[in-house]
Formats: sequence, structure tokens, C-alpha cells
Amino acid sequence: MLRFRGTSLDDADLVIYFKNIDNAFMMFTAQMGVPQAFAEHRIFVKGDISVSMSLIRCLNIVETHLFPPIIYRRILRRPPSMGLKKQFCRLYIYLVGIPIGI
Amino acid sequence: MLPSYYEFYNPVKILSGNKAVENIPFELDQLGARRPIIITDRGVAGAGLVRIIEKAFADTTLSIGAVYDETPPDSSIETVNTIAGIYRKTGCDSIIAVGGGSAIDTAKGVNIVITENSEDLMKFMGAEMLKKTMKPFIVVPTTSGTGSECTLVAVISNPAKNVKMAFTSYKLLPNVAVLDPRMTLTCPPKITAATGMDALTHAMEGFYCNQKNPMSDAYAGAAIELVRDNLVEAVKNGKNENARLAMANAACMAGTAFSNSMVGMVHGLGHAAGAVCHIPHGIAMSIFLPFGLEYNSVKAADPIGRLLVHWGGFDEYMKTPVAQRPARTVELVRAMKDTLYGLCGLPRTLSEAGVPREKLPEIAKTATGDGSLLLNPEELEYDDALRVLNEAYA
Repeated sequence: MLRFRGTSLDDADLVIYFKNIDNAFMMFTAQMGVPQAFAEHRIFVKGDISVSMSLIRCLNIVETHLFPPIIYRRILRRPPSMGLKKQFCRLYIYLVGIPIGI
Repeated sequence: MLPSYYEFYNPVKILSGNKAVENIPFELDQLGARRPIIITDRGVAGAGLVRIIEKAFADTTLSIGAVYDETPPDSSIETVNTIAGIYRKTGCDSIIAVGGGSAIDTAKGVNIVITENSEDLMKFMGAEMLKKTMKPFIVVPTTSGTGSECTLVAVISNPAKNVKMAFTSYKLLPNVAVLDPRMTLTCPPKITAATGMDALTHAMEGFYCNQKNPMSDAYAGAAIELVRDNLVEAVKNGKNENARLAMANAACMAGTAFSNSMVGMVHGLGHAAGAVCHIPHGIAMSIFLPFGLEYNSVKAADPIGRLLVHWGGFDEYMKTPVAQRPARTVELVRAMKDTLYGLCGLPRTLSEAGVPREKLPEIAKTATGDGSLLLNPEELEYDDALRVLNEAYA
């Protein structure tokens, strides 16, 4: 199970580092997906690489909720199917989550 | 088409050919080392291969500090720490690994522990975590092979925590790789076939997976052609030094390729099958390679099609319609598998390898956690992995 445990590096089982701010910006603004970021050595990993696979699957899900299809289809190898519930969730994020933060 | 960004690094000096081993003392001297430890296993020592290296030091002022020949088939943290202790106690200043992937990975682990002056390898687990320059390190592979003499990867198990620790760092690359045909002459036919298919898989996956680049493609293509032209002969006639040296070069080039372009689902499935059912790595690669090619032949149609130039030859490539080239590549890989099965009984399917069908779900689950899948052109989830495993079963 993956959990958020705060911002201290000491307790982390896995740390993903961005080599520089430009790389981080490219990834977080969906100019490239996580697989491409790994392929281009933009990020590196401290810890168990197999745990990073679970994290990346979580990031894929987050990206499909945050970005519209025209963007996530470009950065994900196989976009997951978005049923009605997930579509509603995305709408909530756009209308309430991002503007108000709840 | 050029990738938008790539990195390529291979500083390993390659010595290949007749009496290459005899140059080891000179290379150590060039690196400022005088007293190496030799890390190997019982099989290699028993075949007399370590004696060839010891003889090379006979008329020199260098001396071998220690020989450790009890490396197990799977590198482990306990073995690494034991060898590091011997290294320190005998005043060694460099490392020579003689053997297959296990001995080489163990030696890489020893180098980490010695250089970082630590006993906790887990602190350095991950990618690009090593910062210090390692001790002088020479590799003499005795299989053709893992290509570990030219890779930045080491995998070492920690049985106490039930974890396979993966280390990826440019610092792990050896200073020198020595390809001497004498070192693989005693390799039995089935192991020659399995390790040869391992080298082919490294080259092919490196050619079509997502981290590919023009430099790694050059190495991969050359490696594939050497395997195409020499593997069968090396299996049929193990005493053919030319074939043995060609396969050693193929494995080394394939290692260089995949070290700079990584691998994909064939390795993901292979690692999982090895972890769950203890199938030897080369056999797993041979079984899964055509299925990996087929699975990716939509997303990676162009590179898999272009593999036909190297694997089938230029004439075969030109006479095959573009749309059929990936399928023809797969067909020729299957033909090689059949040839090797006929020559030495190399398993072609999971059932021939003795894998129980009820283990397939566990293998599929384990495979989905493998980092190799990240650079596979097509996504592979549990259901996909299970489907491919069932296809590879019979």
C-alpha cells in the first residue's frame, strides 16, 4: 500500500529525484509522461525499483483525472478506461478541486 | 528518427582475441593496481580457467591477493560482505571477476561495499545513487552471455529481507572487459544455447524498447548478426574458437546496447519466472522472446520490422513486404528456438521447462512489479502478462 508520510526523506522507502527544475516542469506540465522521463534519464530513483512501478501506476491514474484526453493520450502508453464515475470525478476536480482545493 | 533526448555511456576498454587474458597485468598496472582479488565460482575454478589467469601473473611484479571461488548461482549480500572482508584482510587493491552474471554482479556489489566503506548495500539501492569512483575492476566473462562486463546494472539478493536489490549506476561499469575464446570453450551446449539466446534478447529488446537510441542500435544490430551467424556453430562445435569469440563479442555488444537502452517485458516476465519457478535466465529469455516481439509488434512495428535486416539478412528484409516484417522476424526467432531444441534440448515453452501451470498467476503478478516493463513500448498489466504466459506455456 502506498501512503503519504510527510516530506522528510529519512522515512522514505522510495525517493524519486528530478535532475533539475526543467525536468520536473516538463513532467508536471504533461509535456512528457513518467515512462518517457525515465527513458530520457530525467529522473532517478533511490530505493526499491519495483515499488516505483506501483507509484507510477498511481501517477497514471492521477494524470487521467487531471488532464483531458487530448493530453493524457499523448503521455500514457495505454490510457485506462474512464467510466462514468471517473468522468464525474474529473469534472469535480476541474470545477471544485482545482479552484477551491477541496 | 532521433529521440528528443538520450544518454549513452560506455567507457569499458575491450580486449578481444587470442591471449587476451595475458594482458590483464598490464591493464591493472595502467590502472595503478598491483594486488587484485579474483572472484569466481567453483565451476569456473574446476574447469581450470582461473589457472589461465594466474599464469598470466607469473612473470610480472604484480601478485594475486586472494581467490574467492565460492560465489553461489545467485549473488547475495552475505557473499558480498564475506568477499569484502577477504579483500580488506589480504590488502587487495583491485577486483577481477571471472565467470557468468552471478560472479560479475557479486564483484560489482563488492566494489560498492569496498568503495563506499559500508556493509549495508541496501543504502545504495536504486538508480544513479553511487557517487564515488570505484576500485579498478576487470571482468573476464566465461559465458556469452549476460553482457554484464559492459552493463551498469547489478542485482544482488538479500535473503533476510526477501528482496532482490537492483543497482543501476555508470560507476558499476568495469574498467576492462577481457574476451578470450579460451574462457568459454568448456561451456556445455545447452548453456551455450541459453546464454546465446540471452544475448540475442538483450540486443533485440534494446533495439525496439523505448530508451533506444542510434548508438545502442549500432551495437544491438551488430550483436544480432553475430548471434545469427555463430550461435548454432558454437552449440554444435564448442571447440570452435572463432565461433566462441564471436559469441563473446555478441554478448558484450548486446550488453553495451541494453545498458544504454534497457530492456522490456521479455526480461520482466523472465525475472518473474526465475523468481517464482527458478527457471535459468537464458532459458526464460529464449521462451519469452518471440512473445515479447509479437506483443509489441503494433506499437514498435518499425524497429521490430527493421530487426529483420540483422536477424534475417538484407535479402530477407527486402523480399518481405513492410507490413509482414515484424511477423517474419518472430518466425525466424521461433525457427532458431526449434533448431536449438533439436541440437541440445533447450526448452521452447514453459511446459518444456517444467513450470507448473498453476504458477502462472503468481509469475504474472510478480512480473507487473518489474522495472523492465517501464520501457516496454506497450503497457503490460496483470491480465496481459497472464495471457502471454498462457501462450508461452504450450
